[in-house]
Amino acid sequence: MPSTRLAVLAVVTAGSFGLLGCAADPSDSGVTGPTGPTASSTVAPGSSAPPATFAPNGESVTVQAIDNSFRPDPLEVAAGTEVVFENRGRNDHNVLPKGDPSAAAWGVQKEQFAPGDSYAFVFGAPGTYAYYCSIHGTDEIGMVGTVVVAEP
Amino acid sequence: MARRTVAALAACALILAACGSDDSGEGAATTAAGSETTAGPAPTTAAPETTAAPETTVAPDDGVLNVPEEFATIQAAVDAAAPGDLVLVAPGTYNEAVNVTTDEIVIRGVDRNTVVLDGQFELDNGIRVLGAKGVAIENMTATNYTSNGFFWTGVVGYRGSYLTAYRTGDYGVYAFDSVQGQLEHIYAAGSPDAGLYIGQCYPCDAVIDKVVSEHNGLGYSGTNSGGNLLIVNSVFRNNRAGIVPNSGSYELCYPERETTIVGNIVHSNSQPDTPAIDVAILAMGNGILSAGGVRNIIERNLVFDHDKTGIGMVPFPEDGANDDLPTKDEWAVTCDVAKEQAPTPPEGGSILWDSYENRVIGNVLEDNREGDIVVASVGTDLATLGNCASGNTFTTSFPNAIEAVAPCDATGTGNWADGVYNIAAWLVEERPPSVDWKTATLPPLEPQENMPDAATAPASPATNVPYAVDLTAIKVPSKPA
Repeated sequence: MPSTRLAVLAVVTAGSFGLLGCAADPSDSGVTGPTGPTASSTVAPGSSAPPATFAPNGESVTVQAIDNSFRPDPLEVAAGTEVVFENRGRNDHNVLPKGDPSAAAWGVQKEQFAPGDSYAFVFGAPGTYAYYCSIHGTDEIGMVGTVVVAEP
Repeated sequence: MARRTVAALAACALILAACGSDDSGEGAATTAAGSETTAGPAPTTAAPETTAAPETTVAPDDGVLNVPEEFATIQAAVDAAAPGDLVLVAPGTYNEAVNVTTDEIVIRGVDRNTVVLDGQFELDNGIRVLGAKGVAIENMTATNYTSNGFFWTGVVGYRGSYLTAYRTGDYGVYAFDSVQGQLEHIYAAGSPDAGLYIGQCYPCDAVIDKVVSEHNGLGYSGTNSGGNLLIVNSVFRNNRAGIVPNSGSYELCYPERETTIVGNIVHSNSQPDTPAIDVAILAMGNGILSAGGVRNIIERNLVFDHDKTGIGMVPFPEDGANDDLPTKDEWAVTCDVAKEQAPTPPEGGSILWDSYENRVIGNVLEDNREGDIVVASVGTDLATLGNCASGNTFTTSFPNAIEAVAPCDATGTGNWADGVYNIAAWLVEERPPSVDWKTATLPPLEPQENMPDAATAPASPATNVPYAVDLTAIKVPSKPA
């Protein structure tokens, strides 16, 4: 049976309810994940401030990992949305953030993402999150995807 | 023109001399793009121990990049190669996972049996070609990779010749979302999915010719592929199932259609001790199985010794489908167009891929113990599926007298209800479980035929494939001794 792992608990302090655009550093957001505490995103050129982090908004959307592509791609969501990656193929896949996956707060290895498995992450910070399956692509080509997170 | 590169060993020595020692093994001799999947250097080479700068050696500008003489690793040579170049690999064991992103290069082993890429049960793919057009891989062996031996994805133009894939965790030779291909003179054994696979392409414009595939989950699998896709002159034996074109919404470009299977020897595909994924276990005991396939041509094959069917045209039930069944009108949609279409998941999630309009002609079948030729479905009127059979040599069929009931290019006279195959029994039947691909008993790896003139033949990128096949000249093969 498919197993869902909610990998991230977006911890929101009481005072942050409704407090959007608080300019918190993602590393200080209380976000935790399986591979590290720091969420990262691509900041727009010229931006000097770290991206704001938004509280979970209760929305959830799905990205299917089939053999061998992610869809929909790109996926556009509002900050605070939970994105559920589902392995709907017959092959093993993984979901690795572009860059240094070990330094990112999100992503899932193939051992936890067999066919039928799913993995969820709340994208709190606006930005562009590129990811890939290293079995069927590199961070540039093959089985790649992008989550575009916009300010609410 | 080829980009010329200072010989790797000399470069390594220069780096050592100029930048101080680095005993991490990350000098020029061992560093390669895609290093996360590239292990250390080939054991036949080593960084020089001296820090004195040797005389600089420049690889000759002959379009041949020699491994390890000029480049310590295959990956380093591939990264230095330009279109038209030949990466020529000397005998040795290479613990590498090579990524290729340069168009029209040729990667060739000098000797198929002694140029061995070994993933050591840790690396994913032996050689993986990502989006690069016209890359040919020739005359080498890949073994012990957790995914695939040789893998092309998203390419136009590919060729694999004189390749051996032995004991791999997914497929032996894998062409996905790729068109204009030639896979020939290949031996593939020990994969839980398929020894050879071509999937998600329409039209594929590809040929599989003169291959041997054994002791895999499936000898050949092709999901959602077809369109000028030929499987000819090959041997598929001792797999769970032999040749299995199939449809499913877990890949794009459904359904599988228009695969032409001619002149193959398909036998004894009831092997119980192979590694096998779930669908291979489900398909066990069948020779040529169109599982939800459409408009395939199965002609002049020799098919014998199977526990279930010799040639079966059967449905594939898919639970949790990602999209609904395509209409007949959508069968003609090319893959490029289909990939852009949004799915409409079916209510309830389950669909049944029936096999339609397959043509079974002139095959020789014997000792297929549940039926030489079988058409089956679950709940669909078989008469509406349009499958046909003519000119075959066979004993048993479902329906009975299938060539009278459903002749090709003629009007049938019999009764589809006279002899109904119980395909539903497959879903509840117990079969031997998969065997771990890492430890499965395989035939000993015998020396395989080498590419002629491998050391001297010029590079021939995959820009002129597939090669033409004269289908009319192919006869039913003789039974092996």
